[in-house]
Amino acid sequence: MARPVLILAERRLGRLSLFFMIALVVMIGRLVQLQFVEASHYEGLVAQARVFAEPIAAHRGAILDRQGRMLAERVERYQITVLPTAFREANRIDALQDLVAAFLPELLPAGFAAPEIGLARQAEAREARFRAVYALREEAVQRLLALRARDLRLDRDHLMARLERLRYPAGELILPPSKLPARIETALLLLADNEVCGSLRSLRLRLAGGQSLGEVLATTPERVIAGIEREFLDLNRLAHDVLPEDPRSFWAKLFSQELRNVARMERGVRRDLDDQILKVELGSHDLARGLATAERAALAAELGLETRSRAALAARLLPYLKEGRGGLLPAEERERFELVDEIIDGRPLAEEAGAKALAGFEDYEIRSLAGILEVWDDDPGRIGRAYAERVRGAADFALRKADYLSPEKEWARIVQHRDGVPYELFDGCSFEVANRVWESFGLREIGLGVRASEGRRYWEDERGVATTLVGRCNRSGKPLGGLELLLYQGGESLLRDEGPGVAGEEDDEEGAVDQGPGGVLRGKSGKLLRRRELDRSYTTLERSEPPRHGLDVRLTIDRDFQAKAEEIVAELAAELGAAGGASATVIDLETGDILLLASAPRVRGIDYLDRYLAEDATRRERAALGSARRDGAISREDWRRRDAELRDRLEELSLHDRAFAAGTTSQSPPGSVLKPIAAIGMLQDGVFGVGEEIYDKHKGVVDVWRAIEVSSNAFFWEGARRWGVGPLVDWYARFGLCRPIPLLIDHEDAAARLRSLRGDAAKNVVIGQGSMSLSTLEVAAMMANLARRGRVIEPRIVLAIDDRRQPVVTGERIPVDEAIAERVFDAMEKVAAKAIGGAEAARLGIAGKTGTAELGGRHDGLYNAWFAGFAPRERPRIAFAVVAERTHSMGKTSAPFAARIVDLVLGGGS
Amino acid sequence: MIGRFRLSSLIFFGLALGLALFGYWTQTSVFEVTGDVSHRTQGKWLVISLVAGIAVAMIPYRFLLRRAYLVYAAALGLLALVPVIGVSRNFSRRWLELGGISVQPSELMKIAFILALARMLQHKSDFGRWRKLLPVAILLGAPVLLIFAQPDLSTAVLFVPTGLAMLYVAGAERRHVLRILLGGLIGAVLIFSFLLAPYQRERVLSTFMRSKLTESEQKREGFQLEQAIRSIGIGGLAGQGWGQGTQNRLNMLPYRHNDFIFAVIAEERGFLGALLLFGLILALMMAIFRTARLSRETGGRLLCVGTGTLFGCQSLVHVGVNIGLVPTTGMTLPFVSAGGTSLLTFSIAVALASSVARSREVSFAGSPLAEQLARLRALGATGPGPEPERPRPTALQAPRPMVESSPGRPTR
Repeated sequence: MARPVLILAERRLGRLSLFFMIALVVMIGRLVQLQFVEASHYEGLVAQARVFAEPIAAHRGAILDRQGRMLAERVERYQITVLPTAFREANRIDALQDLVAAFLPELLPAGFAAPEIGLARQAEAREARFRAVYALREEAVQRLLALRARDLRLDRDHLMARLERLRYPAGELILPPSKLPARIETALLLLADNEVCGSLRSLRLRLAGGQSLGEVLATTPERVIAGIEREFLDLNRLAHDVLPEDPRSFWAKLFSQELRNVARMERGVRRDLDDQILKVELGSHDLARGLATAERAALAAELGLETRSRAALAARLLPYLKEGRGGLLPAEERERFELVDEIIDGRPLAEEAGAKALAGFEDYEIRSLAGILEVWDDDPGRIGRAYAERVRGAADFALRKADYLSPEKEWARIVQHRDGVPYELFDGCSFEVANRVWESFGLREIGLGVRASEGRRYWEDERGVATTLVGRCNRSGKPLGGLELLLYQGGESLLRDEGPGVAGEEDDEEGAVDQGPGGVLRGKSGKLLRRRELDRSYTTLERSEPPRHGLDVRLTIDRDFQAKAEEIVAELAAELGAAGGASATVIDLETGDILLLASAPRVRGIDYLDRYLAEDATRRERAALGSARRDGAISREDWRRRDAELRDRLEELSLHDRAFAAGTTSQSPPGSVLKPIAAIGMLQDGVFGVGEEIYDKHKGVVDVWRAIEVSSNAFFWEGARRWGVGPLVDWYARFGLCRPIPLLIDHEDAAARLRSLRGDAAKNVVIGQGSMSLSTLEVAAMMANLARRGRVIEPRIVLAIDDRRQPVVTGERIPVDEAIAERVFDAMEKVAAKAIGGAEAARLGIAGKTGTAELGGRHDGLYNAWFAGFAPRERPRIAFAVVAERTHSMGKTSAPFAARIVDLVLGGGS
Repeated sequence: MIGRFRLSSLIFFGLALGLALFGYWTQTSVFEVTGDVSHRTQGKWLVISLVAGIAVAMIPYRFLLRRAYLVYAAALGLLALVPVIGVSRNFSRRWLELGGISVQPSELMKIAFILALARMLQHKSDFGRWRKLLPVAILLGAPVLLIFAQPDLSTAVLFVPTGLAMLYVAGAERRHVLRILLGGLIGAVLIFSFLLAPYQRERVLSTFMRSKLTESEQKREGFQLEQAIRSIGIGGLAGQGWGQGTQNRLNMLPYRHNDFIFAVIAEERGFLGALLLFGLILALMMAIFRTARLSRETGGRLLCVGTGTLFGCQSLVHVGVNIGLVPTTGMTLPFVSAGGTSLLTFSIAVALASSVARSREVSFAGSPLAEQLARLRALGATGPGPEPERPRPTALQAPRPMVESSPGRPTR
């Protein structure tokens, strides 16, 4: 039967051949389609893909004071990049070393070798701590990798689900920095379980900017670790990515905690190394805090100084002060690293000291740490000691700044960087450094690129005015504790999305005054279009988009007035022992311009950082305490006591600009400063007759004028009883009180709440007591409207944008009887004379009102001491308000300081 | 005769070498850009494969066929070792490190499978019942499952058309073949729905039903395909020149030294270069199929069918992936892509075909059928005449029929 078989086989072979030929024809047809019919389409796509857009930073607008003097200016910073492919040749590491060496002198500050040995040692010690924690973290990474490699109980579905979420549009898994914990986990699991890896056959994991992880795993695991280590250096993006529900996040959280600590210390180290900041610290008033005027005078005489200013005293005092102000580290960090100091000195550790080393760690973190350190013991003391011992070992590392710029580390990063994308070697160089690098290393030898970017420098003399004005926000741009200056104008945000800034050179992570995109100050970035050529170079294209530069903003604030006023309110706070600080605001009557907004303690960026960290730690401690209470770990009484302590501490720590924010945690009732306008309202509304008298058991028989002079509560209570709290509050609101005004942030629309009060609470509204809370800005604005006899002008802080004057914004006129107003003013003049002194008050023409607001609750026995008014009496030009918070003194004690401020402004002209 | 044998082998090796050199030339272009030197490794494997191929070609194929099951068992054993001691790369475990050499057993399994199936079907003529196909199914299923588990879906799937083609040419009934095809389709749907990982599903969808994916999914899954198609699209008639391809130089296409080497060829050599490549592929395939056609012995024929189909299918799949007709999968282009084991495998495959071509079983006059007809015509050329008296043939003298009689036709 061979013949049919052969025939069959031959036929079928023929069909098989035909099949392949047809398939090949189809392929050719498709090829024709791609290479001829659609060729132009693909050529366009390829050409498009070669073009990259680099942002061209817009010039930021400057922030100027009233006189046009600089408060915050733009600085050019330079970024040095290299092309990784050009560096990858073996001999280029020499070039890298030379490059790094070229930068070292620039980055090691002059102060590092400063004659102030204490500071230098302090900086070194901080670096040691940084390195110690860094080394421990490296150790922990190694050990964790080893631990994970042994852990084969892997949840495949979970892993796949996690990996699925990480996939990016490259047909590969690109793990961006923001996914760091998952990336670590993936890398670890890859190391641990090849079966799981096997199911990911076609996936290609890349470390962001690195090579295929699979290839690296197959050859050099150390490079994986180096890559992971590199990612760890991206400290600021870690904490947000931990998934609380994921049990594997235990160790991720541990690193988050550790890295937060490292981040804080790093900031502290950076500031140490910034010579300018050091100078500011040297000039800090804090160093001479607590010295009374007479003591300062004596000290100045002893030191041979002519001036009594705190700055000069502090500068001279420094050599005599102990090293280690420690102000840059929060308390818990200081504790931990005092422990490190002990270890470095070789002192034996007690169990208690070991427990101290774990301050700030949460329980599960301690458990994880115990696992990493292989301390099979639940005793925190032992765990802490093991931790501290490990830190001691790590503290033996060399402490040079060069470690941060280790050529080997940079090399490792460079070789893992993505091809064709410039690698940022240094950022924030000055023009001189960039120029020197350019000249020394050329443009293409190592693919060197120099790019300009925008930075900020805030004008800051030793008084730190700029940072007070422009305030601060946290790293995510959120204002904290009322601490921000939103530049509003006429109810609209002039600089929408703008946030406050930080002293010194700008650090984007800390927030800048012109954060938001498209803001007036910020402008809008342009685009530089560049095309990648076949030789991997870049050609700039002509069709780039130019940037829209930011506009200069001129504030109404006078820089000199502000600086001096800050000194005055700081003195006020010190002399009155005002635990809640002090503040002052002055407003120009004609235009509503805010001439100064002074707050004490002054809100400086550096102080703020410490305060913020301490506040953050306190909040967490409070939260932990609450949890402990819920778990029954502590008794109710203990919890109450401890919670009250923490709450008090929080209040003390809360750092806000008291001039325009009434504070988020404290009361700030205005007291009797409201009585003048209450009197006008009551008289005009017929609540009282003009000569009507009331008996006040403390003040005697008083009419309305006398009631203002002697600040009779009884009179005004009676008025409030007759008038009703509703009309009273409405009347206040017309003067700008108890309602949101655009310049304030997070301010309560208190009117509705106040109207609903009953009984004594309602009664106290008229005398500015109870749950009212006002800032000096609001009170000064109220006095301004009063001084204008009912003509309302909204306070403003922006004078001009790009030399275009901003309009004066008027409000609805308040119907104020001229005659009544004159009589009220007369009464206020008498108050001022009594409070300030007749001659001085007359000289300055001040008409004002004192206010002594009693504080209740845990501040029982303390007062807010107010003095507010306007000057000169005959032809008023300015309105003012000054307060010292939480003091034992009465309102009149603020008056002399207010007089000094008025003298400053009127004497200096506006 | 001897000359023809040598000529066949020369054709095989010449075409294979041509493809390999084409591939080496392209790889130097790729690696020149990346700075890698892997093409040197490919050069070494080229030499090794050439030597191995010549060695195998010298071995009579029947010798190998007789030991096919042994070879199959050995290859299967190596394959079974992969999950145990295999080396993982790129998230799949497919390689064994043997004495410092990295070997991919699934590649060797292809040859072993072809040998074993040829051996099995060599003497099989009755494919009437399904159960006759059971041994084939087992022979096919074992390596497919092991390779699928690596995972290496595309290699596993490649066994199926190879086995099917051999079965088809061996004489399996058409209905059986159709049923197997249908079963395969159903199986593919089931695998797609339940066994494939999501990324694998997306790859299939990104090829056939791109519009069903979201934009981000399209970007994610279609990135390599998109880059490959762009590379091909800008090739034009004559290409952009060696080492001058835009996509190649700018490193836009990953894995272009193996999975997407056709795209590089099309980009840098253009349409003409691609046609040349197709020509070489087609020529080699047809040469192998011609040897199959000429082979009088079933085993040799099936060997050639298997190797030719394997070569053709893998080439088509590779090209199909590159031009977007087949879902993206890691399939190398035989002889052209980087990959030592693949080069060795196909060298052996070509050598086997060459061995068949060199054997005595290959007809020198054309196909076996043509040979029979030629003999018949030669015998009938003297024409009819008076029939001489012939002695009555005894049983011992009775000639054996050369041609199978069919009903109704007189025989001598």
